[in-house]
Amino acid sequence: MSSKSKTNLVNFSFCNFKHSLESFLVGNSPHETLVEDKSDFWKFVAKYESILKSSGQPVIPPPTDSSIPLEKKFSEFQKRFYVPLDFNDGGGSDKGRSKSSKRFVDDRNLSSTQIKQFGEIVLIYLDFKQKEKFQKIKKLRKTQKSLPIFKFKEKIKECLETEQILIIAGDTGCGKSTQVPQYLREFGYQKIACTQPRRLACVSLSKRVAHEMLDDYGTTVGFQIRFEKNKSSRTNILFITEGLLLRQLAVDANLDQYDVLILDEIHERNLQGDFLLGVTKCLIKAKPDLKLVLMSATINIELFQNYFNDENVQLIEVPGRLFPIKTVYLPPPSLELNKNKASTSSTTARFNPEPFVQVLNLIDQKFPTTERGDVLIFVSGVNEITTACDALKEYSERSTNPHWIILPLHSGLALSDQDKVFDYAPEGMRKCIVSTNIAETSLTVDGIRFVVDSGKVKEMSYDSSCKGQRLKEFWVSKSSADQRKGRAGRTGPGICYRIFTEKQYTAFEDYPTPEIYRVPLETILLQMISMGLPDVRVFPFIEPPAEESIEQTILALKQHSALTFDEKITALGKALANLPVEITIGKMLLMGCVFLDTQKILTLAAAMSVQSPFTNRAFTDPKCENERRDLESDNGDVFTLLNSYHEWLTMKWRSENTRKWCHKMGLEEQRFYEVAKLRNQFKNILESCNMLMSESTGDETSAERSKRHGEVQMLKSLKRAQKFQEPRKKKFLKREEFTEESFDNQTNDIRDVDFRLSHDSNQLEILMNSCDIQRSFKDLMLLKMVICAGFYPQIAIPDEFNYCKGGTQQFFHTFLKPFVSIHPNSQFSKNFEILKLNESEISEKPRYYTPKNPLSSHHQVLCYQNLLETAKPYLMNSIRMPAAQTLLLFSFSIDTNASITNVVCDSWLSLDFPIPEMGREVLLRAVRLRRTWQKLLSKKLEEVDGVASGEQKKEGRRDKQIREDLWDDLIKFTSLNVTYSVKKLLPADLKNLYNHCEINLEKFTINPFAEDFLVSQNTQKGGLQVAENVVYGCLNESTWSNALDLELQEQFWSCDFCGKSIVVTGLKKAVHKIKCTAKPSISYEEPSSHQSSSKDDKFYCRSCKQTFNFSKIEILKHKKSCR
Amino acid sequence: MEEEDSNKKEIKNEIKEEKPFVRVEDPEIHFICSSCKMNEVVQYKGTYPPFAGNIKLLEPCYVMRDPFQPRAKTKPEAFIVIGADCCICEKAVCKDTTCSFFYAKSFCIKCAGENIHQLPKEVQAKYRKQVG
Repeated sequence: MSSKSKTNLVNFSFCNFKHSLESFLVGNSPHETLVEDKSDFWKFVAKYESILKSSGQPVIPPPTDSSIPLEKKFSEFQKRFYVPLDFNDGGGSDKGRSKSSKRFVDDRNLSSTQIKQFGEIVLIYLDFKQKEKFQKIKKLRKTQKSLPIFKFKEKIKECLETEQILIIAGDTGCGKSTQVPQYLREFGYQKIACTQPRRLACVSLSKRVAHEMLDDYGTTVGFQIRFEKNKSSRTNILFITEGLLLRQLAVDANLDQYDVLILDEIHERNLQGDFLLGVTKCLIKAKPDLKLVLMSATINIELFQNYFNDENVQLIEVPGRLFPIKTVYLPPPSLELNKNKASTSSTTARFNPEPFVQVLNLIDQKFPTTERGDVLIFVSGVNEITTACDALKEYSERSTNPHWIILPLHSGLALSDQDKVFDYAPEGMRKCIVSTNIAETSLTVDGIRFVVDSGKVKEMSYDSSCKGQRLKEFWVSKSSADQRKGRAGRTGPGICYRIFTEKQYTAFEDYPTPEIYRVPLETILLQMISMGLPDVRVFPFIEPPAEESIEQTILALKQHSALTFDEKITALGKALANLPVEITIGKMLLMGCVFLDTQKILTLAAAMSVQSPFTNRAFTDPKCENERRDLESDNGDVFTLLNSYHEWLTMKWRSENTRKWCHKMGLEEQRFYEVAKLRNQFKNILESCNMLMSESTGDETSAERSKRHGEVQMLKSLKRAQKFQEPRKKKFLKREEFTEESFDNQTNDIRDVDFRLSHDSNQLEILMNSCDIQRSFKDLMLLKMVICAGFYPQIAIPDEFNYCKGGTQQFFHTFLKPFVSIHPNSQFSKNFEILKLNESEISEKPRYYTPKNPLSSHHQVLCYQNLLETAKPYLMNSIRMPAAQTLLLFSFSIDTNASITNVVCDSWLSLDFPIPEMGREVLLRAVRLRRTWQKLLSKKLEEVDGVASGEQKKEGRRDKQIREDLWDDLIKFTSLNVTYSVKKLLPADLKNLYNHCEINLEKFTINPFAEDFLVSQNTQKGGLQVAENVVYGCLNESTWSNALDLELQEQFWSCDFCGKSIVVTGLKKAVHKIKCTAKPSISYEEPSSHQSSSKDDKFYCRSCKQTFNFSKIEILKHKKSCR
Repeated sequence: MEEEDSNKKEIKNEIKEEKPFVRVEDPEIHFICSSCKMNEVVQYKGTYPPFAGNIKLLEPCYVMRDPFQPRAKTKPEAFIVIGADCCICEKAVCKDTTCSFFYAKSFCIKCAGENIHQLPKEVQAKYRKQVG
């Protein structure tokens, strides 16, 4: 080919010179690269050439010199001047950059003219890409302007200029959540906080808004949620969870860091949202410069308007953007048939997926698959979703041309699985999403044409009469049903099939019950009080909870010592309000801080605060059950959880694939990551208020440091790669998706990368140790005790007839609710024998002890985390404890008879100690222990206050010793061999329980229970108040206790110290012991008596045939190196 | 602040996030299209955008750093030309085909219509097609 001839595309193509032209595209340095996506560029070239050819212009005109004078450009047509770009090769740049020489192409078959012509094509391509990007921005702006809210932008501005509060009511799709924060920033507000009820919404909204503000990679828009935040000093718009903003309010009541607060989704009426409304109502009075924007769906707007009646509130109503939706009532035929049956209660009827299959069938008949027709089905719960999905899949398989892709959707799904509902169904296929009410408001799937509504919802409610939660299925409210219906009309006209009658619909409640009526109030009320609210009863709730439940809550807070009797917050209460967890868990943490080794307690509290990682499959799939067997603990399910966590950490430590393992075990791995994060949060909070000593980080060798450095570099680059990855694009769904193989690769798991970034091997070892409970009884027992300290009075005792019954008929009684069962998924449910007394554990009765209750030193009670009523009331997450010791250590009030052979705890459980002296000794020890524990805790809490004022005391060796001893003594106490019986008191027993007799105070020169406690008469029950929680001698004597007293009066008692034999009874012996001059003076035990340290276990390595004295970590290290 | 403090601590404990490079503050130039009122903040006005690599422009333009990709020193195509000043009336116009016309220089759509007869007839045809 002659180099002088014209470039004719008939016999020439640049695509044949890809290789040599590459150097033109790349230039001489990375800085000079011209195109981003080379393959895209070559596709463009091919297309460009073919267009030229097909339009009859195969001859490319000679290249043009762009530096010719403008007049010449205007007078003589050059196609090249349609492109506004040029190469900057050495030309006069204003910064003097790019002094590179001309791009060099080494190919003899290409003429310099052709290379110039190629350059012009590159410019055309770049211009084309410019136009694409420009249009992307333009389209974004157009979409923003087409949102219904846009028409109200000016009005919003005007309103905020005159008023302090503005309510914006608009339905989903009107754009309020994404646009209003941006408008406010345009109006000049700099510090905008926007609350969201859900963490996920904070993250996704901040991403969306950042994108619309063309700041995807900047920090103008940020978010802050429980475990994560993404903001900087440049952040103007912050999406934050309601709970977190409340916590910020609690410490910074004036909230100077914001100039506008946007409370979004206030119609959801969740607890935190309601609380925030009340708080902001008070706040705006104190801060006239602060603007408040309330955003809600168009649900019950009058309620909010009336709530702010006194404050001159403006309302802007934004119409939604919905296409017409037809409503079809399709009640299931069974409902018609069973009309006469009395029971229509939905809980008794099994879920029937048939109506949903019929609707799909109906859609198949009426609408050809060429039309769009995605379906969204609402059912009440996860089990219903599974059943429906199975039935629908079966229906789809049956048809000659399967075209349904069935997708479950609920909050328990992994996020990647949730994302699938946003993917497109391929041509000729339809997707059918089966969802809980998560898709009602919180998740929006576009393109739905048909909604099928079961009309049911499962909701947690709280029964304050038994302090239990109840998960029950209800009919939804009218507003929910309409919300569900609305989901069919977002992209085009739609149809809503309701699997109930119109009559039923009219009987629905107008609105769902606000959360404040459905949950315990302890945490929220305590938070209010700690924020300085003098009387929670007068808090301006938008809809106040029942007075009675407020009173009950205050009582419970008093019992937990979070409030004093005159309702002032205690140091403990303040500390509890600081912790982002329920009071029970918070108390566990604080009571646990007293001990020396707090690592385990931190992990325990974190593990008990997150949702259980055990999925349904873990209990239904026999494979999972088998895999779990070695990890199961017969002490309580929480210890099975700790064992699993330990195994998981061990695998992390060995860098094994934990994702795969979790799947095998039926575990949701996300929860384990949460445990680690939450634990860290607890640790930081407790350290920052000096409840915990911050640990010094261990010394690393330089080799370890450099190894870790390399690892961190690698992890960071992985993280960066993931961060800058294109956001997930919608894909086409496949009909069968196999997910198994995706578990094999863990390097692309961002959670794993994050976890390894924040935990080096030292920290991993600390974590592993902190959930290793299999090696030390002492550790296990302490954890159990700390759990009780937090959860008391959540105690259940076995029914007296359990001994003769089988597994399904084992019943337990709580203080407030009789006959509850253990949850069938619990280890105790399978292994119920462990909670029974066996023959050998029952002691022989002395002849004077006549009651029929068995005597034993092995009675047990359960301490449970919560009571949940589904089909039946169930105890959730319980542990087993020795009965008497637990009750005596934790009861709020302990009453005794004169000889302390009978003790009644919380006017509920009666303990008989028919062996002389035993009851008294146990009680005395219990009182001493709980007082020491309490004192240590108070001291810690005082130190916290002390630190605030600048003084910090070093802990003395003596204090350390006391803490060490307390632990030992508690362990010894729980393993005391004491024979007794337990009985639940009946209402009739309570009538004659107390003697109301005064005891002569003068006899009590010394208080044997607590030497520094001032004894006083108890006027309500009789007897004497001898310690904070103990009333001595107020119980009426029984026949057998009188008989025992008579017997004892005939016996001499000899003192252990002075050896004197005297005739004394009851307390006098204790008094003598204290007074006795021959008492040994040493009160602290020698350190040698402590349990041997864990290092002393022998380890025999099978591969090197040696025995070592290794700790568990060392064993692992050894095993790894000795392979 | 409690929450803040604990968070700060958390960050301290974590390994500090390394920034890919030192960020130079860009100037903020407000661009408003005189025709469609498109309103954007751009980082450069001129012929040689510092972040456009080896590309220069035929006329001074309003140029935005490409917001759809992370900032990096050596990325090609990391810019978006948003608009330019009309070569006749000197009003700012965006690149949208309803707002401006380009041949060697940018014309606002009004000036383009008034002056199109002075341009080659191929250009006149293209203009009519664009407005058409």
